[in-house]
Formats: sequence, C-alpha cells, structure tokens
Amino acid sequence: MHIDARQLPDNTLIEGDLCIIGTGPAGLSIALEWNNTPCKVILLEGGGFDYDDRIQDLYAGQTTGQKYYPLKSTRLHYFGGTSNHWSGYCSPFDPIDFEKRDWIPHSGWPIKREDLDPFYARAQPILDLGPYKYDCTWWQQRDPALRSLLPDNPAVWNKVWQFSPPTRLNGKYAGTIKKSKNIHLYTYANLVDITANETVTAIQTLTVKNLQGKHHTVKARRFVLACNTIQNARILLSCNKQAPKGLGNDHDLVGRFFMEHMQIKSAWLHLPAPAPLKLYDIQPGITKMRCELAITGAMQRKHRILNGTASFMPLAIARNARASIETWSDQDPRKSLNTFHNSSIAARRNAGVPTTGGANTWMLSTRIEQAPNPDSRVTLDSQRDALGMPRAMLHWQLTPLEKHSTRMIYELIGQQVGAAGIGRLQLMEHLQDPNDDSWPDFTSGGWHHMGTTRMSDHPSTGVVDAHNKMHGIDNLYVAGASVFPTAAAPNPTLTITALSLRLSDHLKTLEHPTLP
Amino acid sequence: MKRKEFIFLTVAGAAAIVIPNAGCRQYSDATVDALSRPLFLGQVCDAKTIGEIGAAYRTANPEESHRNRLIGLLLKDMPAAQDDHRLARLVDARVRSDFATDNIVTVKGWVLSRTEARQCALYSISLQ
Repeated sequence: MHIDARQLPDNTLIEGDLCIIGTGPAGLSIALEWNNTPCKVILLEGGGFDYDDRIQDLYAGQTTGQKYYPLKSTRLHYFGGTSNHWSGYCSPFDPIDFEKRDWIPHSGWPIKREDLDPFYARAQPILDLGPYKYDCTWWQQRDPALRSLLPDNPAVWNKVWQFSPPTRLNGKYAGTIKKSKNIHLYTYANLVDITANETVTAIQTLTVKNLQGKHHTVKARRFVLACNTIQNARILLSCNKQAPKGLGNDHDLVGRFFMEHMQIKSAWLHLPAPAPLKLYDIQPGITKMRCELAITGAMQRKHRILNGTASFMPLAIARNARASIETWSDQDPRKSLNTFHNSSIAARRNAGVPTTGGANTWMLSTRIEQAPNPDSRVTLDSQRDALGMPRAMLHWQLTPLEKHSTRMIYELIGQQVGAAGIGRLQLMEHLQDPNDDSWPDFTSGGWHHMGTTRMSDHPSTGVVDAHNKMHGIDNLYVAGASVFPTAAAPNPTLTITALSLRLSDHLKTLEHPTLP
Repeated sequence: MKRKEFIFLTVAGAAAIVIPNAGCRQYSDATVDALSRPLFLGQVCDAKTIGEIGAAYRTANPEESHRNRLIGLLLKDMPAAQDDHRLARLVDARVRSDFATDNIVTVKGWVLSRTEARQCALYSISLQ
C-alpha cells in the first residue's frame, strides 16, 4: 500500500518489522522479496512517483579533484531511483574482482564470485535480462555471425554484456508495491536522523521529514539503508549526535574509498579490410548482448594491473562522438540526459548510413575499475539542504595505477591483434607517454558511485560485514554499491541487485526461518 | 597519402638508398627494399605514418639509428633467402613471431613488433 507522508498528521509513529530506506534497485529488489509475507515492511522514499526539482535538489553538492558531473544530476530522487534513467548495461563481476590482489591496496571482498552466482541468476528477470549466460560461446552457438575478433589466447577474452530494455523500476514495480498488503510504501519521507540505543549498538528509531515540514518517527526491528553510495555515507556521517564521527564510523571509513569507472576513448584498431564486428557493435534499443575485450586474470596478475575492458565504435561515429563529461553538465538531470542523448544521436546521424561490410578503423574505449583510494571520498559540507541536512561533498581522486593499467590493457590487446595478423592497434595520445599519470579533460565517469561503506570481515577495514550488517550495530544493514570494496569493470546495477537479494535471504533467516 | 601508394613509393624509394661505404657489407637495393617495407603495417597506414614511426623509433633507440646497423639486426639469424620476395616473407614471419613472443614496442602509440619497428626505421632513413 502507498501512503503519502505529507498527508499524515505531524509526528506520526510508523511501525513495522523491517524498514527499507530507498526505492532504487537495491531497496526495491529487497522489498519485492518480502511481498506477501507475514512481515510488515516499511519502505521509505524521499520523493514521489515523478521528478520534482525541489526534491532532486536535496542531492546537490560540490565536487573537487578529478572533474565530475554535477552531483544533483547523477542520481534520481523518486520511486525507482536512478533506474529511471539508467542505460541497462549488465554483466557480472569476474572471480578475480573478489580476490585480494597484492598489487591493489585495499582490494579483496569477504565473499567470492560463486557466493553471488545464484543471486546473479535471480537478478536477471528483475531487470528483464536474458538467461544467466555470460559465456560468449553460448551466444555464438545461437548466432554464428557473432564472430570473435581474436582466436583463443592467454591474454584477451570476450566478456559478455547483456542489455536491459532498460527496465524502469518505477513503471514496472510501482503497481505491485501499491497493491501489496504487507509492504507499506511512504513517499516524501526523507531520512534525516537515526537514533540508536544508549550504547549505540542497535537502532531504535528513524526520523523522516519532508519539505512540508512534517516529521515522523519510524520504528522497526531491522533497518536497511539503501539510499545510494553518496547518500548512504552522507546520512551516516550526519547522524553524529550519539557517535561524534558519525554512525558506523569509529574507524574513519564511512565516505572513504569512493570509486567510479573511468570511461575514456583510448585507442584505434586499424584493420586491412572492413569488418562488421557484430559481436562487439551495438545498435541502441536492438542489441540484446555484446562483448567487450577483457584481460584474463592471469595477465592482470602478471602485469599487476586493474581490471578493465575495451568497447568498440566505428570510426565514422567515433569521430563525431563527444565525451560524456562534455555533454552531461547541467544540474538538472533531465536536461543533461537530453544533451547526452542528442549528442549520441547526432554522432550516429552524421556518420551516415552504416555499411553492412563494417569499418576499417574502430575506436576502442576503456571502462576500468578505480583502485580503492581512501582519499577519494564523500564528506559533509557546511551548507545545508532544504531539510536542514548537511550537503554532500565529493572529492574524486585517481591514482597512477589506473593510467598504467589502461595503457597496459591496450598493449596486451595490440599484441594479440598483431599475433593473430588481424590488424594494428594505436594508443591515443594521452596514453602514449608511460611517465604521464595525468588524465585529459575528457576523462568521464560512468555515473557509477561505489565504495563509501565498504564490506569487510573486520571493522578496522570495512563498514559492513559480509552480510551487509554494519559492524558494531546489530540491526542496521547497508545495501547498494556503497558496500563494494572494489569496483570491477562492469556497470554495477546487476551486482547491486544480486547482493540485495542475498541480503534479503539473510534477513529472512533472521526474521522468520520458515519464510520462502 | 593512401595506403596503396606506400608499396609504390617504397619500391621507388629503394633506388635512392646508397650502397654502404667501403669495408661494409654490401646490400642490393632490392634487399634493402624488402627489409624496409613492413608488409602488414603498410596495409593499415600510409607511408608518411610509417616514416614518422621509423623516425620516432630511431630517436628512442639511437643505437639503432644507422642504416647498416638496422639491416644487420633485421637479417640477424635469418635463414638465407634465395630471392628478395622470400626475404620479405621471412621478415613478415618474424613480425608475427615477435608478437607471439612478446618482442613488441610501442612507438608513437602504435603497438608493433620489434622487427616491423626496425623496418619503419630503415624506411625513414630512405626519406632523408
């Protein structure tokens, strides 16, 4: 059922068994798992069912360090969250992404890829993806035109992406939530404070507020904070009346290790004759899967590099394509999205009619994980939003390892392309000097925020444990990409959803062991 | 300059390469031409680019900036070729082998086999 918190009498007490804060892919995928159970679920959303600029402004904040998008524009603040403008790219993380890698400080998850596999499979239909098949040969058997650029080799492999339509969680699941008898969705209920017990070992109540000035109190046995990477950190840091450094921040980790995916044009692949490269090309709105070239775990270990991939774009389109950071510059996410889309459409239109024979020259673009960096972080600003909450500040900071890794990825691909006698690869100018660790102005992020409440078995190295429970607090859980200790190369939504389903199963065993 | 022009220019350019000084091994123009023509690279970029790659390689590797040194390195351990066409094929096979054995260099961003980078260097000398 749905309750508009603006219509409730001021100081209403809202009570339930489980309280989920946030209705993006993390919060909603958990909530849906609890539909038609005996548990009363309180689901809190700060906005309504449509874009409202006054609500969106609560996400505004300053950025420093590496040039970044306006914070107000990067996440959507209404039911369904950022799924309401995501592009639908999905791929699971690789086994190596979960490992402790001695060349990457602060790497290593307390879980393995096989721990997530069953949840990845369950996440696929939620996002309207195909079968949980990410082996390239499975797709090639069904379409022989999906030919691999390279023969089997020890360095470079074809990593599969699947494309969601993309699913807008608002449109797909709002009806289910509104009809639910046991899920109580409160819109216009922004979390502004968390009250713990005297020893700060358990959460007792939440305070929610809206722009109409009404406060309400929420009581539950367990709470899941699923507000997105920046907001999760912002809320925990600002809840400092009982814990001076912020909730869960005894070890000064909350807000640190903010990570993004660098997305940047990087190299040219020159072929002696035109080739369609269907396996790697994308037709927006049509393509169900495609591959990017990825580096094997063995080569990542040998060369001590981060995990990253290379995607393909024909020269005719690439010469007109603008970097995301250049087109996504408006504070209003609707305007930025329009500019971004119009730029992409113009690049394709100006390329003319695509030839069936493909292109001689392809631009390769990198999508690469960022090394966990404690100085890349979210902090609180002295400025406050309309609800009186301190605004978030983001300092996005990269390390030399990202540049070294990007360069090495293309040297490895170039070597295999040469060995196979397929073509030659040319690094773009910004990657040519091995002593240059700087990034050009067109370096873009993927709008993927990760890592501010990282997962670790030990409270000195992580904010939450392997079951997403906050260290030191018995009934507070964190969901979403903020728990990622490392970022891997793929877009995060599939992994966010899988991890949330895993958390939901865990909560069910605690709440009611007989729940399905 | 178009890619196909490169083949013509390298053949014509070979005639301009001078015979080595007395006391040095002598190479025929056809042999030098075969060595200074990176066959595969010539299919994906033009002669000007090959010349620029070669000049950059010689700058980065000054010990390989002389014609006879480059020819010696390109012919090192090479089986005797009965003709220059066969020599060109042998050099091309070595290019493939370089990629397979990690004997690669990056010059002006191009990820190349060491052998074809030397071929570019030799070609760039012919332009002087």
